[in-house]
Amino acid sequence: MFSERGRTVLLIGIFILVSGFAFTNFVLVILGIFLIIGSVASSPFFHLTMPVETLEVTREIDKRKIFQDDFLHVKLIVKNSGSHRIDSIDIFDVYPEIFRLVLGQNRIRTRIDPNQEIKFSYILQAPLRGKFTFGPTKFQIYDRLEFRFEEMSGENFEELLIYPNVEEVRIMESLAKKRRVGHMFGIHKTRQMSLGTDFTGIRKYEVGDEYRRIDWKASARTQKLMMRQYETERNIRMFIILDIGATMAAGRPENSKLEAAIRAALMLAKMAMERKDHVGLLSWSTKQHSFLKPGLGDAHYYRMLDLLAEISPGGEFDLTTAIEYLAPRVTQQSFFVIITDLESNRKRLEKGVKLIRGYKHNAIIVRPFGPWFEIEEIYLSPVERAIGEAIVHRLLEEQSQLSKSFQRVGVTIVPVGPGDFLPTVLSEYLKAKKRSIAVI
Amino acid sequence: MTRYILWVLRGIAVAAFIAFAAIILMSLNPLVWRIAGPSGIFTALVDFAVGLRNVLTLLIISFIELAAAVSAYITGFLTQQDAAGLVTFFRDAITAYFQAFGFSLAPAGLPPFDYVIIFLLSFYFLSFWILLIIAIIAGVTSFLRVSGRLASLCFISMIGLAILGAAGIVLNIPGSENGYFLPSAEFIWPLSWPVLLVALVGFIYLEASYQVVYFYSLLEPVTVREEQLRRQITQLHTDAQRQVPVQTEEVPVPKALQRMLGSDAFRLMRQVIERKLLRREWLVELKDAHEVRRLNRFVTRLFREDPEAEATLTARASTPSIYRMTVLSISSSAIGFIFVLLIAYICINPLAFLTLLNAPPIIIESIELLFLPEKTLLFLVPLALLFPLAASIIGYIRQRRAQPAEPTRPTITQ
Repeated sequence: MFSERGRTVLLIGIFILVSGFAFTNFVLVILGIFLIIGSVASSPFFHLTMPVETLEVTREIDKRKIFQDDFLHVKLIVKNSGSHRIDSIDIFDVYPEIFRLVLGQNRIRTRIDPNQEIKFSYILQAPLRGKFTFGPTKFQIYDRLEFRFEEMSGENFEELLIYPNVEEVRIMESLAKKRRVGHMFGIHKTRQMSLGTDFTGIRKYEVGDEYRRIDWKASARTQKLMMRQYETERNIRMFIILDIGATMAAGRPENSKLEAAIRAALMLAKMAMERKDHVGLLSWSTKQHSFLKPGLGDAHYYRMLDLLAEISPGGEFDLTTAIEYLAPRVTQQSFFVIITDLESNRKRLEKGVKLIRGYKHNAIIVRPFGPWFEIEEIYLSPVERAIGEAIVHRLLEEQSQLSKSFQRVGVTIVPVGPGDFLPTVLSEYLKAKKRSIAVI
Repeated sequence: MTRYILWVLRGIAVAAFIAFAAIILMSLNPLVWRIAGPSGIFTALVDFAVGLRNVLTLLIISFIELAAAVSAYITGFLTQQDAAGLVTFFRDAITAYFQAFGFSLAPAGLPPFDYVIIFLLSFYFLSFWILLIIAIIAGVTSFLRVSGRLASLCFISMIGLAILGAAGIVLNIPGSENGYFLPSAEFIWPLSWPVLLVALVGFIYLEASYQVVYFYSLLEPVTVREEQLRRQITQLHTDAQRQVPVQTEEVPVPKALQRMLGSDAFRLMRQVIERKLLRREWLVELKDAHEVRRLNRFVTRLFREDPEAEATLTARASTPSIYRMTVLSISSSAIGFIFVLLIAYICINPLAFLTLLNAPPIIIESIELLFLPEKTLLFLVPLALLFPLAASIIGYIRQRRAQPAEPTRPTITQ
């Protein structure tokens, strides 16, 4: 089709020709004909040499799976395998809008000779977790004087999976390496007194104690019956239920409740698996879910990483259906860590909690408190601030009512903000472990 | 090297511009510049302003007369003499009003139509100056900024001068004005024929300008990109070495505030300020520094592992061969010229073409009876439409032949 320049030249040509006729001027007539013919004459040749089938495009991405905030090198190779040259081609590689172009450029204007291959690349940074599609590569092919152009699309797509940010996990691993003695020994054992082989101390005899554990030397010294006390480490079965409803995505994309929840879930799973606890995952809303039965090991962790990376928010969280879905799949007693903002249907939440207790599971609800995520660092006018405070007030009131209702069945709600999300979740896990909840 | 070639190309375009402008300006009768007075453009501007004033006055008076006539007709109370008196009254009032501000209305005496003619003539002469100024500014700017649009504007302005000249019969190119006929009925046009020469120079100027834009659009971005990337990488290496100092400075708090608050409250206040302001900025700086170091590590590793990474990032690998580009562009332009010349020849001199084809005498005789416009259009329109038509057919066939392939969307595998 005609480009803007082509149209301009054609119109000028017609104008000059008409002027030449009108004012009986031969120069204008000839120049008008030159321009009219010059603007249209190359059309057949342009279409004849259009590389409809002969333009091959390959995109090389150095990694298919990267972590959030990592860098990515994307290389584009375009080959003209035809026998005609392309005088001018504008190549534009489409990448997901959310990515940041750090170095290089994703477009180029060049010319390609027959059987020539051109390469260019650029570096991107992935600021968000998720599954993203690269492509297509778009072409605008011009003739030499840019009188005509045609658009083409490469139809080449690549998928890329961005894992959540695991900065915290890396820090934890780095700390563990520094200590060289394992992973934070001493703070995470599930103690089961009087069992096992690890000696922990001596205590007074109590009725019902086994005689074989009486420490006779200590008894002789103190003139009272003293017992040797042992402990053993017991592992627990934990299940992370993640609310992926639309309300969890409120706020800035990189700092939403969901992103914080995913990071916390990942950290919690990593820490628990390091301690040989079994961890499962269920992400749930009305629309979609992913399920991973409890397990441990590196492969299990990476599987969980995959599932968490692919989560996209939508729909409304329904705890009741989530538990009904889990009931036949998780038959053994487990410790449920439910991460939800509690902004879904209240009755369904209450029913879900009752179901959990009905199936003899233990649970804790970690609640990313909406306003602490959504209004962080945002300037609010006095009116907006007043509205915000009213909302906070209402949410706190609802939470208080829910807390009372849930505590009746032994489930507590722990509100968290962006700053204390991780420590709170880990602390609740350690508490549960100490209490020997849901031991395997 | 690239920059030198671009400068050479710019030089060629400038030479073509100067040649074209010189031919047009020298062909115009010097009278059009109104240079008899102290300053040509000033005279033209004054004439235009006076003409505009006269025409506006005429319009106002005409409006008043019309309004008076209509009101006289509607009311029926006024006689013709009364209406004339009313017009005179209004005219005197307006004249007095304008004279109070130092303006004078059109002098009475000339018939109204003459005022319009005088105004149009003044506008005509002023237009030469306006077009010349636009052509010079657009030509120089297109040379400096290498812009196709400005080159087109410059060309339009120059052609505008020629059209104005032709309209006022003040354009003097030998052979152009008597030419509903060719110099002779021969088959070959002499290249020294001034009419052809002027048209060719104009066409060459436009072609050369677009060629420069073409070379520039392909070569300049690569050079800029390479320089930019080198600068960025150097900056990256420098920034990666920089250490962010640990922030220990205390925020100064005004003494008045210190006195107002108790010592504990003051300490608390200071802590809040430090945490909220200072620490946040420091953390941002720390995070930025961390990101820069990570990027630096990534780029260093990339350059180590992929030897062609630097060439692809700068797009140096896709720079077209200048020599090849130049040769092909010159040959394409030459072929284009010959082709355009041939078609123009057929359009203007169809008799020669038909004689060459041994067309029947009846057709030749019927063509002979036509004047140049009909003769030219008779061949030009079908020929000009033939190319887009052929292009559409070729495009259609090629699209049909190319089967639409299903887009491949490779999924991520474990």
